[in-house]
Parts: sequence; C-alpha cells; structure tokens
Amino acid sequence: MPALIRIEGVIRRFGDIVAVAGVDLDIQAGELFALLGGSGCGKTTLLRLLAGFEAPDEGRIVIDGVDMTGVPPYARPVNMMFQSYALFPHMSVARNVAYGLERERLPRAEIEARVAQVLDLVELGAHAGRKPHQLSGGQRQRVALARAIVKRPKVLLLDEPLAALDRKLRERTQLELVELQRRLGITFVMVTHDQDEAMTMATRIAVMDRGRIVQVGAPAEIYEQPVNRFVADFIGLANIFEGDIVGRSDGLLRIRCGPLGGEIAAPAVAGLAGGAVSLAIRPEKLSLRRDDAANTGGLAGHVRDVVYLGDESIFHVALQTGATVQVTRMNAQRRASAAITRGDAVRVTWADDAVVVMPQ
Amino acid sequence: MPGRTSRLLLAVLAFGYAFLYVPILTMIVYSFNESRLVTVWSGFSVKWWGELLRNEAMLDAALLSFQIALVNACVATVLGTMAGFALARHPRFPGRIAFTGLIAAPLVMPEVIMGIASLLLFVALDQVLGWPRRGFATIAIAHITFSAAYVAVVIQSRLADFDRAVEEAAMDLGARPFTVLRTITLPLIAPSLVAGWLLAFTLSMDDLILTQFVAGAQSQTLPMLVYSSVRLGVSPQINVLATIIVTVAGAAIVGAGWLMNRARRQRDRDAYAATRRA
Repeated sequence: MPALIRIEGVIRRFGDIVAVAGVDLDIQAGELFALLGGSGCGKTTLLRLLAGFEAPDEGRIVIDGVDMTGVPPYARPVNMMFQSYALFPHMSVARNVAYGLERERLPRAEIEARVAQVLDLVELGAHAGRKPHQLSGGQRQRVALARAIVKRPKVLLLDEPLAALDRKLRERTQLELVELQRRLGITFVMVTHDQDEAMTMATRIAVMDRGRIVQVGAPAEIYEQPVNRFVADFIGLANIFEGDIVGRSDGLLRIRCGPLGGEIAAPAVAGLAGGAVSLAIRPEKLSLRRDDAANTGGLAGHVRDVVYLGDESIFHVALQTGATVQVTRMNAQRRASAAITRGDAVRVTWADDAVVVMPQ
Repeated sequence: MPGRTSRLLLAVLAFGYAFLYVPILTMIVYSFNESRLVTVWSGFSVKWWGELLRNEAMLDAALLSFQIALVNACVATVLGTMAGFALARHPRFPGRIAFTGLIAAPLVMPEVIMGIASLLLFVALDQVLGWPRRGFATIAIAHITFSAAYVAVVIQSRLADFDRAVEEAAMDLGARPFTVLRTITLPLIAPSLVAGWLLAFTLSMDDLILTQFVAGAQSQTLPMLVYSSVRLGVSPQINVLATIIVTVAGAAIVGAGWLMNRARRQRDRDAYAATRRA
C-alpha cells in the first residue's frame, strides 16, 4: 500500500538556520505518528510544512498521491490542532466548529447536524453557545479538537496537543485521543517534546535532532534498540559507556569496556564488526544485590544516592571501576525489611542481551 | 469594601469626572442663557437656539465640516488600515523605510508646514490639470493625508499583538485569504477600526490651521467660522451649537455600543439554538 504521506528530501531554511535539514519519511494511513524531539529540532516546522504554512526550500511532500507543492493550506486535505488552540475569540463554540464546514458551503441543515454530532463526541454539547473565554483549558482543548475533526480530514496534525493541560487531565486525554483516533480512522501526525506522551499514544515515533530524523520505529523498538547515543539518552534513562569490539563468539560480540570491568558480551548488531562503539544499558535491566558471601557475581560498588519515586526507586551506584550507574527497582513491597539504602555495598549484574551496542 | 482607601478612590473618580464633564455641562447650561454675554448668567431663555437656527452662515459651516469629517473618516480609515497592515505584516519591502517615515511625518510635522506644502501642491495641480478647485475637495484631501497616519498607527499597534495562529487556523479550515480577513481579522480588530474612524472624524472636525491654508475663499468650516467670529466677540450661539454637537456625538456613541452588543448576543443565541435544534 502506498504511503498516505510521503515526505521526500525536504529542507527548510530560515536565513542561516536550517530548521529541517533533509527529511525523508513515509506515514501510512491509520497511523498515530509522533514527531518527537527537543525544542528547536525542527518538528514543528515539519508539521507546518505538512499543513502548508511553510513551503519547503527543497524536496516535496505528497499527501494521498497528490503533490502538495504550491497547494495553499486552505486546499489541503489536512486539518491542524494548534498548540495555543487558536480558537476564534469572537465566535461561540458552535460557530468555531461550524467555521470549516461553512467554508465548504454545505447546506445549513447538514452543518448544524455535523456540528451537534461532533460536539456530542467531545462532550461539549451543553456548551455550544459559550465563548472560548468562558471555557476551562480542557474544554478549549476539546473545542480545538472538534473544530479540526469536523471536516473529516485525511490527516489531523496536532501541535503539542496536550502541553497546556495539567498532568492528570493530560494522562486521561492521551488515552481519549488514541481511542478517538481508532474510532474515526483519521491518520494523526502529532508533534511533542514529551517522550511519555509519544510512548503512550503513538503507533510509530520519529525522533528528531537538529532538523533530521534520527530514528523511526515503534515505541518499544526506539526504547529497546536505539540506533545511537542521542536516542538512547533522549528516550528514558540510560547508562552509556564507550567500548571497543575485540571479537565475536557464539553469536555474541566481545567488547572491551573498562567502566564495566573489562570484557563483556553483547548481542551482535548488523553492520558493527569492530572498532569503537557506544554501549547502553537501561537502568531497569540492571540488578542490584547486597554484597555479601552469597552474592559474588557482577561488579562491586556502593550506593551513593537513592531517589524515591513512589512506584520505583533510582539507585546511583558508584562502581569500583570508577564508573557510576543508575539502577531502578520497583518498590513491590510497602516496607522491605532488607531494603538497600545509601552507603550499602552492592553488586550490580545484568544479562548479556541487556546491552545495546551502537556506533560511536 | 468600605474604608479610607475606597473613599479616596471615589473622591479621585469624582474629581476626574468633574474635570471632564463640568465644562461641558456649564456650556450646555449657558446655551439657555438669556444674556448676550457668554459668561454672565441673566436668566433662562431659548432665544439663542432660535438665533442659531436662523444663522445660515453658521449652519452651512457646520454642515460643511460634518460632511468633510465624514468623508475624511471613511477614506482615512480605509487607507490608514491598509498602511497599518503593510507596516505590521511586511517586515521587508522596497521603500519600507521611506514609507515608515511618510506615515510618521504628519504626526510630528508642524501643521503650518503641511498647510503650505498642501497649498502649493493644490495650486500647481489646479494650474496644470484644472483640479482640484480649492474648497471641499482640497480640505478633504488635506485632512485625509494626516488623519490616515493616525489610523495607521492605531491599526499597526493593534496588529502587533494579534495572534496570527488564529488566522492560520481559519486558513487551515478552508478559508481563502480574503475570507480570513473578512471573517476573522477585521471582526477582531473592529474596536480599533472604530477608534481609528472616530479619531479621524474628530481630527477633521476641529482642524483649523491646515484648513485655513487649503480652504480657499469660498469655503468656511465650522472652526474657521468660530475662530473668526471670536474676534468680534463670542456669541452665545456657539454654546448652542456645541451643545447640539455634544448631544449628537454622545447619542451616536451610546447607540453604536448598544447595537454592537445586541448584534453579538443575537449571533450567540442563533448559534446556540442551531446546535440544539440539530
């Protein structure tokens, strides 16, 4: 099946700044696709290129088989939900939502029916006559959503859709948006700087850095097999080290890595046969045990700090090799009698396949 | 909240209102003065109202001023708004610096200089093209020149803090640029448009110096007439005329506010009813 959205070699410059530095990307129909990155990585510019508010300096964008070059925003089969919501302050909720349909010159009865239907969908039927300034933040967000989906676009673009909501409401709305997306079957392309939001909602994520896409994949792929240091560091917590490939045995790479106590084994990665590499181990894939007679494997060290987060704790462990690693443990018991605390001597172990090998 | 602070605030408020309105009220009261001296009260009478209504010169001048102010306000609002958009929305275009200077010039230039410059231009044009004859047209053009600059400044500053995402949202929903202007931008800056219009109207209505230069021999605006008659001693008719102007202007502003409010409420009710019916 051909991609619904095809971005080919797109470059966008603002003066000396290259906001989007050559992006190639295919997005399939029905996806909930997230563009994830820090501020200034070009994700919002890419979204505005899709909406037509910016024109690429090089390359082209094809949506549903139609080249969008020179097609103005009002003629594109996409709608956008703005970060600021950009509701029309002089119009009621109903008129805000009806605005897009009125531009299509639909019969009045149909406009009214569709506005009422979509307002019921976002549970704002009772507020149709209100002005935006009379609504709460969460209600405004839903008006913006209703206004953007009422035209039944092929693609809905969402610019940091939940950034303005408080945490509890945001987490609930994330799931509601996913549910809505499945029900409507509209392809969502979402921009976010919040990795939790991207992981929770998206079917696929593109991680962006300095105008380029660094990695595209499902959330689990991005988390478990980051392609380089930047992704490993940006998504979640990671212990990252430098090492050298020294050989290969039983399908595993042998890697010399001083901070991890000498030579370790790691799963092989296509294209990496020798030389300097980066290693990443996620903190939850490290195990922590008290250093006593019963436990002798792994690396010795002592706990320098414990960060208690409620559901889990993060242990900062200073290894005898001189390196420091972070280890997370679930707090499965309310009061563990044998709890490891600050200053305790510990041993850190891990499975061979917990190690991710990346090019340096 | 009763207390010393609030009593002080009330006193300040009362003083402020008194400062603004007592002179006007005095003037209205004195328009019913019997005396032929403007400043001495000698009894109630409507005789100066009668006098004014028989004073053709005064009525003609008032009518001329009103017509010029009306034409000026409308044309200056259109031109000034366009200039304001150019300044606020286009950071770079050929001749922008010169354009910015031209907009600012009438705000800082002495009116005498503008008057001489305009007069020279009109005389030269009249000799070459046979137009414009000095009178209504020249006064209106001169007024538009400087009041458009004021409107431009008002509109530019309104557009400077205008959230462009709202316009982008409209465009995203299928509105072409002109539709965006008509349905989103202009309604949102409407208060500034009204303010600009009123400013232009007022500037034209009481302009004297510039008008003196370009009016020619046949036309006399109200400020010109009042100014020249002051030299012969002010007639209480002036009070009557001013009372009429204040009353009409006040009624217009109150009426416009009431109409705008009603239209807005009506729109909201319609939209609400529409979705409930569906």
